[in-house]
Amino acid sequence: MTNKTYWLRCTAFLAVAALTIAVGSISVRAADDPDDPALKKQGRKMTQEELIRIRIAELEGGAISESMKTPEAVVLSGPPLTDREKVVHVLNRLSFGWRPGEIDEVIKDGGWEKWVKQQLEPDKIDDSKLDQLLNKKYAFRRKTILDLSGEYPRNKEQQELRKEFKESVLVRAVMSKRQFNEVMCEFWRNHFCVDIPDNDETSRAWTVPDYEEKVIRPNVFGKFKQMLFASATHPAMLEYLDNFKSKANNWNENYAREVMELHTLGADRFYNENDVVELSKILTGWTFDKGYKFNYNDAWQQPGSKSWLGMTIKQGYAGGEQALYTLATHRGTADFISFKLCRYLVNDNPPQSLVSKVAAVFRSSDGDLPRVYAAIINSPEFMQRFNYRAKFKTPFEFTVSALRTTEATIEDGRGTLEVLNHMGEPLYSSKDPTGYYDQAEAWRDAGVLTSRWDYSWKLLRNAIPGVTVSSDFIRSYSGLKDKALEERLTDTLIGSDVGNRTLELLRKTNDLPDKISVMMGSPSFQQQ
Amino acid sequence: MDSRRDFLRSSGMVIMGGAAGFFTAEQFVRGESPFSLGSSKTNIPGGGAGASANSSPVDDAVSLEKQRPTLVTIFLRGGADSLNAFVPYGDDNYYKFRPGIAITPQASKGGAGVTKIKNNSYWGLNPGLASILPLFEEGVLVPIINVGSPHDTRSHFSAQDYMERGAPGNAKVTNGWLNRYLEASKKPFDAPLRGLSAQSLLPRALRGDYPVLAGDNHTEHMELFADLYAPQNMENMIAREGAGPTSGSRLDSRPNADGPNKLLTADMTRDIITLSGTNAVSRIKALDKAAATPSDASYPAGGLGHQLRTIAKVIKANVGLEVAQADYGGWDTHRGQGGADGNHAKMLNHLASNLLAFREDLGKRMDKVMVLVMSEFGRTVHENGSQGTDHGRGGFMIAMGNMIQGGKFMGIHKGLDDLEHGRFQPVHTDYRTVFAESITRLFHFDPFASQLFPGYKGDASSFIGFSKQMKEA
Repeated sequence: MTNKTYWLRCTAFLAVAALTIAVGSISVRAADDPDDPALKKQGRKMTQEELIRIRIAELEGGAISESMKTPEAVVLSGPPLTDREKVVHVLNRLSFGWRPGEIDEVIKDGGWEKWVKQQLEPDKIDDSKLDQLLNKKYAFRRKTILDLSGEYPRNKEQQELRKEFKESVLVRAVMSKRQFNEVMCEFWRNHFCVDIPDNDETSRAWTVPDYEEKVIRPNVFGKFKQMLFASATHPAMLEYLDNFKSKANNWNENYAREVMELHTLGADRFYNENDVVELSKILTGWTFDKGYKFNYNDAWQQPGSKSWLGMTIKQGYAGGEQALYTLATHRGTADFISFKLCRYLVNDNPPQSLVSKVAAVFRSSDGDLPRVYAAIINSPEFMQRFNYRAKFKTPFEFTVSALRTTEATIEDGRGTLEVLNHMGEPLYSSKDPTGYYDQAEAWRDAGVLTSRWDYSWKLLRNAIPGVTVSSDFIRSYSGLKDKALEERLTDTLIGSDVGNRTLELLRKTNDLPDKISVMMGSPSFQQQ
Repeated sequence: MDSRRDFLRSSGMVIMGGAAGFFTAEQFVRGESPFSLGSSKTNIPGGGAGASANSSPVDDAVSLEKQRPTLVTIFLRGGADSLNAFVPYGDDNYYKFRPGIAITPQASKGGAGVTKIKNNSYWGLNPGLASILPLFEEGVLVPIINVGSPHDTRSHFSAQDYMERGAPGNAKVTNGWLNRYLEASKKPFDAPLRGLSAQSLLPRALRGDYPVLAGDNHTEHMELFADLYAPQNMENMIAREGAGPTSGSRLDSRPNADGPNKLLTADMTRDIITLSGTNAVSRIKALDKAAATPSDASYPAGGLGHQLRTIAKVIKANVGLEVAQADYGGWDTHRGQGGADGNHAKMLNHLASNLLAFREDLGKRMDKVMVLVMSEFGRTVHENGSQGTDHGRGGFMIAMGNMIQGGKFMGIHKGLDDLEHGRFQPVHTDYRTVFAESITRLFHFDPFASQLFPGYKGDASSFIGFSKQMKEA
């Protein structure tokens, strides 16, 4: 598209005339007087108000969006991050945001490097307070899938279980001291996506809590191949992608396709249609039994050896294991997983040089995830200024960070889960097996911010059912005035600077909860 | 740094050019002519939702005359099976390929039979689609078959992306084809709701540079935040570069700041977020106003009905809606698809009921509204081991509207001996042909001269002729 040429031409013809008309018409509108001799204003220096009106005109005319188009060669440079900014960056990306005062605590306690080191060994972080709460409140966690199927037999009871489980996921993301672990759980539950439908296949109300507990959580700091294998053999995934019914001469291609496209190699890379069919045959008979235990049914195995990715795979269960192992160690998988991780942790468009470095670590460490994470975090690219606050929070990241930054307590997650639903990111309910996108592009449509504004407003008024922001939190701001209050709010919620428009509005707003809501609904709070 | 500066400088020029585009939502809704600036007494008759608040414009001849044509796309997500919707019961292969889920010619113990079409012994309809048979016979609804992508990906996500971007196989094109149409045909004075989705997020076809509202968003606290996201916020874009009228009173000047804060990408991210909010404010107000229009039909419960009802209201409010998309998910029927009375048939029935309700709701306005139903690909001609079908190739589309010239099946179908890899229906009609024809016929817009579909070599001679040409507005 030659927008630039178009606009240049436009400009040549219209610059003077347009400006005149715009200013003139605005005056007409403002004064509501059709006889106002607007054109007389031509040639005089425009007032601030007129300039602002022109900005409105630009917006309505689409010129702003025109100017926001990505320029072709942006030179990305800038001074190195300060120590404080590094802490802010690390807490933005490797946690779901900070608790009040946490930025200063991390600075005092050895800086970002020490914090990261601790977070990379989550088992050594004491999270007993959360564990106690989980044990007390979420009894389903101690039960087997079979137990759950007995206790929550019909959709009515399952609904309660679904809510309890999703609430527990939310509570852990908000409360856990092992924040990086939670951030990565969110990544992997989107990567190895399964859903819990409200209708049809409601048995996933029983199997998905187990999936989170046995497939995702234990492997987030393990090896990629372990997580891949655990997902491939779990009843939730076997059912979600239909492999549990796949049998000789009647195979089902769904899982075979998605395991290559979404879980390992990436779409249309390194495999072709025939490989999809052959992998389907290889995995025939991979199903689960009545006790929801993985079961290889040899009678369902497609007879004969299969030719897949240029290899010959023998008939039988071992063939399936061999195929999964091949995928887990494929260089395409190292590239694809590294790319997704860099996109999640660094930038929506991660530099290829970084992805390549990380993929090399993935390969040499046999997919050892903590080492892969460390390779990203310790890379110079991670801390470059152009990545600082460059990501747009997903709805989940927004709500969790809002709850953390206000130290809210969650008695009942329903209200927040509903908001996530409306924002298009309901927990464990992705319509597509891709899981949710973490790129800004997927979440910034005109209109979507209104739900965040609503949530910000309600949260500070304790109008989200089941969520409480303590009066202590509000009180911690009382007594502060003007500049001191502004700085405190900015420090606590944003951790960096905010636009001057936000500050102006902040000054106009009298009510303290309103001020906090404004901060939370502002563009700056949506950045991380 | 320098390129960023150049970029802003050129955008400064853009801003002047764009200043001609001053036309607020309020003005539009009030029905003022964009050309009446300086003499706001001239009104376009029936040109605004304001009128509809007092007297319903639905049967108003003037209002109908002034109505903009609208293209409403319905995307069936998941790869909707073609053979179970439009059933080639006259083809023996059909019964060979689908021993478990084929629909019998006559009703039997197993369930309903194919819905027959007069004078057609090859094609029938899934009984779930029986209610649209009269529209088919009338010629205002037409199935297009063996239609799809020239690119053979069978990944849902790639196929949907390619289709909604109208650029099969070209990952460099990242904006939606409907958005590109809006962008390419934009005028200095545009209505705030030329494009619309009635969901909380936009489908890809509507994403891009042209601002389109994801309409299922609302807040009770608009006033507080509208101020925060007012267009004036954009002054930051200029202020940062020192080119604006004020220097930003940003916190980097405060005493304890750690250092200079000359950001690049973070600032752009913030602007993008601000823009998202700013674009929303005026458009949500316009939508709220338009949505006060009464609904004249009852839609089936569910997301599709909700979306179509909203879209119909905005069409009836006559505020210049040109393109809208509704989504209907769940078509990835690997399992339990069934035949005459399975899940798939139920979904077809739901789709048909929605199409009928939409048509009833719009009444005479269907003269200017085209509905285009589509999916990212068809499915395997053979059933699989779980009463389902797997990802295939050629699929179907449905076009509906009073400008449709139907009465027969359109597209090229050579029977079920004509297969790709022995498993898929081949694609004989590129979906871009259908898109291009719809845009040309409705809007007098030349999709070829404007390269609406980058890299597409087709031209008007490839049109399959499913639609009459609308009169020039």
